[in-house]
Amino acid sequence: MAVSGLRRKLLACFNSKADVASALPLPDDVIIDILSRLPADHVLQCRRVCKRWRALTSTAYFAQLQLQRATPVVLAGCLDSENPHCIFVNHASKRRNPDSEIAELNCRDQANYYQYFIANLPTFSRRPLSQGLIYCCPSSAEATLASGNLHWMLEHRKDIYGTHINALKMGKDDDPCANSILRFDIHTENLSTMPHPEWESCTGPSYGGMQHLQVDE
Amino acid sequence: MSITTENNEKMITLMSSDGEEFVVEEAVAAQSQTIKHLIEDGCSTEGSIPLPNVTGRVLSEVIQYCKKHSSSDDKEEKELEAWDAEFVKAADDHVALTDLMMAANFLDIKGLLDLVAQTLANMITGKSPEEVRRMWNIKNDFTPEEAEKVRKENQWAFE
Repeated sequence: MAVSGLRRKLLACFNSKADVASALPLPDDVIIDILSRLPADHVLQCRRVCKRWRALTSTAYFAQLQLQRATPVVLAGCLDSENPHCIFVNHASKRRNPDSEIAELNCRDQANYYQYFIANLPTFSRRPLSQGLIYCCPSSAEATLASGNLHWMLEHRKDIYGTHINALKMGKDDDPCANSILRFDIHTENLSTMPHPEWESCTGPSYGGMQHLQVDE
Repeated sequence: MSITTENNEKMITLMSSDGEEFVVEEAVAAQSQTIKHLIEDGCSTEGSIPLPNVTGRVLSEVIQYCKKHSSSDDKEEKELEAWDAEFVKAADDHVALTDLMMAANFLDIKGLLDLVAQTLANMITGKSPEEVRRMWNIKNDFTPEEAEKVRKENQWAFE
């Protein structure tokens, strides 16, 4: 019976008094069970531990399990004048504050600008982000997570004279292409904008034709 | 250590690898799918089930968990959550938790497995690959070239 092999391993494990848990490798299913509960970026970190861990975390089965299990924490959302809606569920911020309730990033349309704030979902209590007002709102509901930042493409509006109203209360120049991506750092809660790829050779406000970059986790 | 009977539940005896006996209500022990199947298949001789791969120390913790969770159907979920949090806190370090995890895995107790696995996952969070290797005595079997390749593959997440 397969149990006897397992028994040997378990005995060896339980008998070890060292400060490491086991002289023998953890069983695959135990490793998968633990690692599938990690946020995606930590799973990637764990792929560097050893070949076995890398193989175990590289299967479709693992990806599916991780998706079901990892706890979403920050929701980023856009709040229209009336109708709030959630944009994005993010898995990465759990380590920042494991006890926090689910938070939501919102922006509210106030005439010409948007106020962004973090909301706690159970109570819907909100606190505004310190950066104040930003003249744009993500055009798409979806955000892309990379390097601990959420990214959205921005919709730049024109004022009645046809001039672009830009992101900027934030200090960059007025070029829509230079500010076509809104970036939110989950850890510092810092909002900033960045240019779209190859913006230096871009001749016009091309955010409309920009493709949403989806990072495959 | 033995566990006293409070009512007329059917009792069974669990025996640990180091020969310690634990008398528990069958309903408590049957939270372990492994034990449940052993009972159903008639593998308990005279109500005694040997568990040669779980030490008495670990088994007593497991039983503590099973008792709490079998008696608390009608209790506040919040209270049970607080109890669980204290329970894993008492296990103290990743060595004890790993022992518990292996036992929960072998005994197939889903709630305990979830609880301990999540606690261990939280412990790994924020640790470098080298720190994780030290936790479980894992050998880094990547060549420097391979290590660099894996690091590059995943670099986008760590800027």
